[in-house]
Amino acid sequence: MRIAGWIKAVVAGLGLVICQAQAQAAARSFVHGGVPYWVDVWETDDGLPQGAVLTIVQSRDGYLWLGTLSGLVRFDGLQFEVFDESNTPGLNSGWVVCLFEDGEGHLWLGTETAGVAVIADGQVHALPVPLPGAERRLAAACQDATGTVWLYTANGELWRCGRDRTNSFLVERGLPSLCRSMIAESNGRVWVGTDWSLSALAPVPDAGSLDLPVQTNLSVRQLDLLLASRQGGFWCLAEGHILKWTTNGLVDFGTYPWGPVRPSAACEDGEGNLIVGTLGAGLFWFDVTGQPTQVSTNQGLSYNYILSLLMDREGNLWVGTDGGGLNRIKRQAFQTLEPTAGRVVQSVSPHPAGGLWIGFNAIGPEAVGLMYWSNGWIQPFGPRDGLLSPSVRAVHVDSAGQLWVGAWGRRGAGLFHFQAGRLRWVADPELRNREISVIYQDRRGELWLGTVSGLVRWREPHCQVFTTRDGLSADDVRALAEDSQGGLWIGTRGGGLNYLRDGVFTVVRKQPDGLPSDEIASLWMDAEGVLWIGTFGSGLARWQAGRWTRYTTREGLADNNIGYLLEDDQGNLWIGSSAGLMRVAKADLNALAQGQKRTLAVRTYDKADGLPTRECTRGSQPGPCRTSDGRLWFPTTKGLASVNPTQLQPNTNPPPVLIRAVLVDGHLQNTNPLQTRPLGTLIIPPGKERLEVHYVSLNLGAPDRARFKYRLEGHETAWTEVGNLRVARYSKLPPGQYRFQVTACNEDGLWNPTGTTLAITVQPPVWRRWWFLTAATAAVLGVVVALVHYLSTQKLHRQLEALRQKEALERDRARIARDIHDQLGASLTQMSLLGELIEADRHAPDEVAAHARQLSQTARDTTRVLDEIVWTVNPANDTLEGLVNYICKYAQDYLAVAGLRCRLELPAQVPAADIPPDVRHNVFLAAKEAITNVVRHAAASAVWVRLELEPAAFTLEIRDNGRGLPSATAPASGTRNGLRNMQRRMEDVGGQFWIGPGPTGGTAVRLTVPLRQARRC
Amino acid sequence: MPITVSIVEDNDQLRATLAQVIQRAKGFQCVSHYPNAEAALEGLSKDRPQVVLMDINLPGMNGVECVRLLKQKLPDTQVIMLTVYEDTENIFNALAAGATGYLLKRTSSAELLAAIKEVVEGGSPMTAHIARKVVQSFQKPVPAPSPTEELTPREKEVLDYLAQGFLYKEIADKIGISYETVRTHIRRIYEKLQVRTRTQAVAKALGR
Repeated sequence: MRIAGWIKAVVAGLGLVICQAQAQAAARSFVHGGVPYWVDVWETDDGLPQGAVLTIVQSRDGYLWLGTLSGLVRFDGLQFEVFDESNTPGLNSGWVVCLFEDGEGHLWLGTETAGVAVIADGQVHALPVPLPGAERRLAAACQDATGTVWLYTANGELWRCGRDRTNSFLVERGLPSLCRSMIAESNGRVWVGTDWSLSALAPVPDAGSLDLPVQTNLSVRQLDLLLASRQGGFWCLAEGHILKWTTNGLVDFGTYPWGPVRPSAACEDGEGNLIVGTLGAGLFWFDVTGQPTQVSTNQGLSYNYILSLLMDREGNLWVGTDGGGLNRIKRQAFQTLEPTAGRVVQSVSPHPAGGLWIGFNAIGPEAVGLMYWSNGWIQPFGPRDGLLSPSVRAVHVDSAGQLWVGAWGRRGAGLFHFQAGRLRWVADPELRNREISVIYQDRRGELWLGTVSGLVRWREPHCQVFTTRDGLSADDVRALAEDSQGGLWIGTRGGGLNYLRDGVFTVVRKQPDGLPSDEIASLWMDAEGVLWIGTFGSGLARWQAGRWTRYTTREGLADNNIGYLLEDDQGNLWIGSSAGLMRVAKADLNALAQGQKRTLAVRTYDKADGLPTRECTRGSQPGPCRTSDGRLWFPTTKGLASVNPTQLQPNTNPPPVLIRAVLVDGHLQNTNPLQTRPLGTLIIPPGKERLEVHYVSLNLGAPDRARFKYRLEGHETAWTEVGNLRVARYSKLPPGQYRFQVTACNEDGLWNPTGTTLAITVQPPVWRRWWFLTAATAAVLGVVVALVHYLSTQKLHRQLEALRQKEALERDRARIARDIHDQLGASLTQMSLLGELIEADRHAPDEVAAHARQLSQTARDTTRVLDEIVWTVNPANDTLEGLVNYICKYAQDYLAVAGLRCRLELPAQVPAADIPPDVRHNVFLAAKEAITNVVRHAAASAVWVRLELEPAAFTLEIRDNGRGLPSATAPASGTRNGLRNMQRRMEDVGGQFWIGPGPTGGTAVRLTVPLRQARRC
Repeated sequence: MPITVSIVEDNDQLRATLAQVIQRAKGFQCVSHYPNAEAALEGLSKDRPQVVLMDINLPGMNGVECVRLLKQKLPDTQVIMLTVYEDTENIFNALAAGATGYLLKRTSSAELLAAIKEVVEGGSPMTAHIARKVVQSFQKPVPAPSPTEELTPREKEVLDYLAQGFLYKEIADKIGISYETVRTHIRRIYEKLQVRTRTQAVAKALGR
């Protein structure tokens, strides 16, 4: 072969290193049976309570259950929920060593020392037997054909848990055995194994018998493990051999490939092949031919000591390790070609000999710009091989098998021709230093080069350059495609499309309902004559005989920045973008163009599918390619990815959807988190506002790529698609019956057709219930009669009331006017007089000083009076607190001037009660009067102001230590007047006035005022 | 050294008069005056007066907010609030924000100067109704109170007497400490009130 020949020449002649590419990526991925797999790890930092996962089961609702020594763990693919004795009533221990789900969906749970429990319908029931204790911990459990569950303990007790009674048998009790294995074949036959024996149980005829009915007894030496096969029969790991028992007899699959380490766990994959976990050598996965693939830390497994294995219903392999946490081994669509990992791959072109030429957009003087890869061997090319610029944009093998390379760069840009193991810089001055993005060969065999400075037709040694001067709409040519008539479509940056035929350019520019953008990234002419156009920023366009169709994110694309386009043999268009590699069926694209659809079913691949990054490279042609074996190769900014499109297996498991929690006004409704069955009917009492429904999907392979939609029947008819959001929120639902429906689709867009539902009843407030309405109607009828009669009189009352209110308002206003006039008016008059006096006496300094003092004193007094008036009028003070504060402040100031001590006795908290302005005014004036009286008449040295609170009233007491009341017959007339005033003021506000001797002498005045409504308490 | 005073008051005439009163008094120097909080915040950090007379009702940013920001910049400057009315709520907020006392605008010039002097000498005027508000504030729970935010038994005693209307001198006699010590206690109560009010505000903002 030519290629092999020159490789040998290179090896011999130049002594360059040829390295063997590692067959497998170094970390976290491996190939088994020709399919790439990826390993994901969850450790304690990710929420797992403990690094040792002893047992794994998947319950029928789709959840993964893990047994650890720090609790029973439920996993939805994203979040771990831990159940232990602290948060789960009935669970006596969080040391879970064995898990088993029976046919009715009940979860049997063996603990290290606290016996066995069963979780049914969210309730944990501890079993009376086997008795607790580490030596009796559960080692295995299974269910026989009659539905009876069998439990097998580490010390050899075998318990049969029938529907109505439980009885026990002893298997080799007293003899220690490392292996305590028990399985039920798919036909229901139960096998029990110890280190040295293997017995099949016969149906139990009489439940009362203590003898274990053994049907078959096989003598084995050193039994390690039993595993029931889904295809019938069972796997038996014993005596260093992998054996399979079927009805046809025993098949020996040979000796253990894992050497002397002990097998510790086993399961079957979807095709019934055996997977065995070992203590120290990772796991061994057998393919159809019986060949094992070892998966250990070298392949990305977190730890080589394996305790548990489970293949879930989607085909993900879950591996529980002894300290390294949980691993998920998942099938990948894409593989990254290892030598290209981390490099920006621009262009790839297959060589007829079976190899692949790969062009890199590299930088640096010694960088590798080109590689040849063939079946695990790679050959790098750099400056020393004549490739002057490592910034390779286009790699093309022409129909004659010649390799052409186009490069960018400040130095060494241009076209290179591969000859005799070296890259020759094509010497034509028109080509040297011209940056080449596209190399394209038309049907006549002519080579076209798209460059940043024009289109070039290259027929060695002739070179013809077309630029804007020749009619090209822009010089930066980024894509070329030939149609069946021999015309050439030319995509440019900034100038839209050009069509070249018979030496004439026709320009197609951006137009509404036409070409969506002048920035063209890629072109693809398919066999039906449809031109597909990828644009920078404006999505994908389709042109067919003058008809345009646009596809953007609105139609379902992942991104509008389109890179390259490639069609596969399965009728799909592959679209590279910055947001992932998209696969769309062309039938889907055509249906949309014909108006039969409005959105596209787009499968977007990214890192989760095995791509090294979701960012595909742009700006090169050729970009991706297809090799003769059918593989597709896609350049990305972090390596070259490949996929075998025939191996792409869409996930056909509709994801189970569960409602995880319902919150009403922030309060959890289903308080039992173990209960995963849907709630019956949620009843929302009246007055509740916010409803939150949290749901999950259990597609364990790619939970973060599930998409949800929900609707609330009775409230909305249309589904709301919410992407990966896992909560629905509603507020202020009107009373009525609703049905909340939620469903999800998996990463391949497969929707769960039923999803899950929750019936919701929002109760009407009491005044909208039927019984209330009936009663109310009757009452209303009765009342109406009375009302008609009443209304006639009521109207009169209302008029009276309005009059009264108006009168009160007028009284208030009159009072304020009077206060202002009497108090402020007089003071201001006095001040102006004083001013005049100062002017008149300006020659007598003593007089001026006296007048000025009087003037400022009067002004200050006026401010105080104004303060009082403003206080009375300001509605902000209409509170008990405001009133009491003001009275106390007044008393303190006034009494301090008069030389009396003032003491306040107030409760720590004064309730926030409203005091209407008239009440406030009257109480203040009464209190003021009382304080004035003390100073004038009592000859006291101290005054106490005290506030007493009752539920519906308050009392203000002002008492002194003076000489007490004079005899009632002869109070001074002024005082009598004052007392009458206080009496009247208190009566006006509906309160009481009391005056009498104080408890320790002196006089006490008590003002009691009823409190009206309180604003808040 | 005269006591340096700055004035923040929006009424031009009153501001000029106050400046004059202070400038003329012996032992006092009016270093600056500002018509609003924004200008004051900018200028005061350069002036660094010992005492600021601050109107409670300022246009734009009010006096209470201004005190809060000012005390962060100039913790040693004492602020006395000026108010027309005994507006308990606003006065209390200003004290909680870091003001040391308050004066009614109708106060005579002699009383004004005396109050400035007292504040500089470490006094903190507190009236009975303000004392009651302070007591209530300390009864409100705060999340995770630190011991430094809680009142000592002696401070509680002083505060209780004040709320009952006792004068400083009477309190000093009553519990056998000096007048100066009463003043010190009260200033410490103010400081704790400020810390506590901040904590309460933070707790409220966090929605605890």
